[in-house]
Amino acid sequence: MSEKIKYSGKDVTEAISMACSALNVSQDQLAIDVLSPGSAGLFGLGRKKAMIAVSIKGSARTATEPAETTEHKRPRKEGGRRRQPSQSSPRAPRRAASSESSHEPATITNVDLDWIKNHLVKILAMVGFPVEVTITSNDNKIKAHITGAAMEEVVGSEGQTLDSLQYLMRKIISRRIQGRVMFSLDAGDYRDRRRQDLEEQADTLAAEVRESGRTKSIPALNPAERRIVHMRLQDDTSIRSRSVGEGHFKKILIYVPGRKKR
Amino acid sequence: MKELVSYIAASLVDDQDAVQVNEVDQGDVRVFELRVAKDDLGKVIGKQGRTARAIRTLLAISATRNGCKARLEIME
Repeated sequence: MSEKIKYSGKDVTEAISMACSALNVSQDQLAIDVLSPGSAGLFGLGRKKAMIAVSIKGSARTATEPAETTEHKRPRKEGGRRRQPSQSSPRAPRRAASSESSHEPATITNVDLDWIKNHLVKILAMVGFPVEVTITSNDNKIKAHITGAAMEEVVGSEGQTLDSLQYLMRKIISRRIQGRVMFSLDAGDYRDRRRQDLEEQADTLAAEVRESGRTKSIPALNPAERRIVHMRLQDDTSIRSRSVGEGHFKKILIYVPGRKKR
Repeated sequence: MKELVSYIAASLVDDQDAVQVNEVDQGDVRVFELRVAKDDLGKVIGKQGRTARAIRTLLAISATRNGCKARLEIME
């Protein structure tokens, strides 16, 4: 513990992973003290780096523990913060592990495709949709396309059903296939139609924003849909688009650069 | 519908033998109680309950097609 080394990063997790890679050990071999949890700041102001001090656990372990407790006799605030490394500890190694396995694009066999198609057809049949599924793959991209009757119901309102199904299928697929797989699910011509709608909406709003200078927004889009809008507007230098909000469904603001929103 | 829940659950968990679905009728609502191994709970719930929500979406549609109402409960 005499050799405590300090590391900093934009947050505690990053600092820990830097320490791990610098010392070439895994996180659970490190005794970590959070000196400052850091802060992302507000709009880039008041950003603080996270600081940690680490030592390698091991034979010195008994020596480390008491030192740690004395060092953390500070107020409860500090005690609360200390939970952070243990909280993020299952996260960091998992991310490291997944980046190892999922960075490699997966190879997909015809057997895999059949297996996926089977699953999809079975689930859809159980929900009550007798449908056809065609499935194709290109490198690590898999596309499944549902056709048949009652496509509107398969898609659901705002594509909710289709996206739920796509999400579950991604989970199921990732349990079978190692590595990175891109799975997309379409029903009828829903995705194309949705893309066209969004692009039209983006164009209309962009024109209005250009005209009036007032910020407009499109509420509650999922990541793929936000991407469509941003891509559509990225070449237009007179306006900008940005996602705001928290969670899966953020909204997009379209605004004239150099102005405060609203 | 019971089949649907257990099929999806089984394809998400490690311990497939521990997947159990009970159907309880509460008035006009059919309640499906899903039980999985303790370690698999997170897998059927998902981040922010996303997986559970997705299963519920599919269950709801299945229920509509069967002309009834259904609810999914994940039992600890």
